[in-house]
Amino acid sequence: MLEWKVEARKHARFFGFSLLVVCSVLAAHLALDNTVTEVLWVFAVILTSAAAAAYVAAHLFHHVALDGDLLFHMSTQSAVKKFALKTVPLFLGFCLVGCVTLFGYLNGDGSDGTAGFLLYAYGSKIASFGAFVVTVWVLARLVTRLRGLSTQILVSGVLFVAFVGLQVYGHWTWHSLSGLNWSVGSSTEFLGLPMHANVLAVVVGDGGTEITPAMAGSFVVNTVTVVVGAAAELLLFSRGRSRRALATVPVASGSAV
Amino acid sequence: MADLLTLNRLVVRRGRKFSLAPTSLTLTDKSGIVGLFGQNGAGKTTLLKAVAGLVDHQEGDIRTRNGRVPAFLPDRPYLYEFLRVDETPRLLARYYDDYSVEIADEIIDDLGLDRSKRVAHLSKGMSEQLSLGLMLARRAEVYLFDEPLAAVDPVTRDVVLSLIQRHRSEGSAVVISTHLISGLESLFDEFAVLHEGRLLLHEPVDALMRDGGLEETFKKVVRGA
Repeated sequence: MLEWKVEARKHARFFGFSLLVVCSVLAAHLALDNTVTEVLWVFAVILTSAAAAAYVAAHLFHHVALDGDLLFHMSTQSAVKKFALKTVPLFLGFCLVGCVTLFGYLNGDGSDGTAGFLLYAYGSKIASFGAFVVTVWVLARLVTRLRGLSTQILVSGVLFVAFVGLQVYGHWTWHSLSGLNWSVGSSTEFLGLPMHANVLAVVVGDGGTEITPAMAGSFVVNTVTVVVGAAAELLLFSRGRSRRALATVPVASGSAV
Repeated sequence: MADLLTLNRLVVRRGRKFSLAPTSLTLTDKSGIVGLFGQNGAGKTTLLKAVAGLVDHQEGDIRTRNGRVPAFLPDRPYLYEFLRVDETPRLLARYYDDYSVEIADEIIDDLGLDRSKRVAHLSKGMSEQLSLGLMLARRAEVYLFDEPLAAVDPVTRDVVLSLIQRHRSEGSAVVISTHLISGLESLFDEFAVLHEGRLLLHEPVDALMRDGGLEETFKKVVRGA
């Protein structure tokens, strides 16, 4: 368990501070309920969501593409364990902050969703975080061999925007968003359907509060992204690396690295 | 005599350039302490990192007994600064299946470190000694130390060398990369010279000492390259 605790400690300061900010502002918003606290709450949601995404992306990119965290890279743990150790604590921290920001959205004016709908909203949010973590990891792997940090950031950024843009376009087409009130980004009010293009919220107004196939589509796409990305890392990237020492004698059971 | 590490025409490229030209090298349980010498930019760090599995190689292969990864001490700080001194070996035992917490504790006592101190609060010199000491607690067959003697005073240098000699596994091979030769001749059993990514020499030290000493040999080999 110690290795898990150490990974958690690496991020405790950032996520602890983010939680403190968002919870304090939420408490003030609920207690006072005036325009000032409302504006503060909107800003707190936008800032913490953006900061958490940037933090997670930077940390994963530094680890995967730039070979940061030398001690961790040198360890002889399995590829599965290394992947889990690096992604799960970040994912959980992201979820903690994200689910608090969802509170206002689900409990704002006009909220009339059923328990199933609320549960779906949290599930959709959590799947979007998982998809983001895995997408950043895979993109960082793809640009590892490019020379120069700026090229790496540029190429992975373009690929990320294209991947998310494609999903927004898909939702637009499938859900006929042209005829509805919709926006891209985080929302603090209960405006409609909680959908996500990867980590980006696509908030649709006047869409009712029923879970439709189109709405479930974003959840499915993000879940598939998590599964495919994790499989690519474990079956393709980590095995394909020419960094392994081969055995001069047959590998004894349990002693191979 | 058993082979502990074999490099078979190992190649590392960065773009179209060779960081390491085809390099073959064998270390055995009789190799002892091997001095890997080369000027700055000769490829010493690339070679050690490739063997430690931190850099991809494009051609050739690296073979160790049972495929075990050698213990590697990088040339920059690698320990987590937020951990206490006594927490670090316990974490390393989770990271490496050949790690001995008992030996690590013994080394920490030898260095006279306060176990309750955070790594961040150690002096630069103490932190470097701890980094080296904790890597020695791996029961590895091959140890790779990248510039452990760079920028250390003579007293610290003696402490570092004494740690390596006392705590490395029995029968292990130790590679120490450095560009300092003077005063270290008696430490090494084998002498290797890397120049512009090519391994130009790998010989037992005894023969070279009779032939003018290590420093002269190094200059001769590099100038003749």
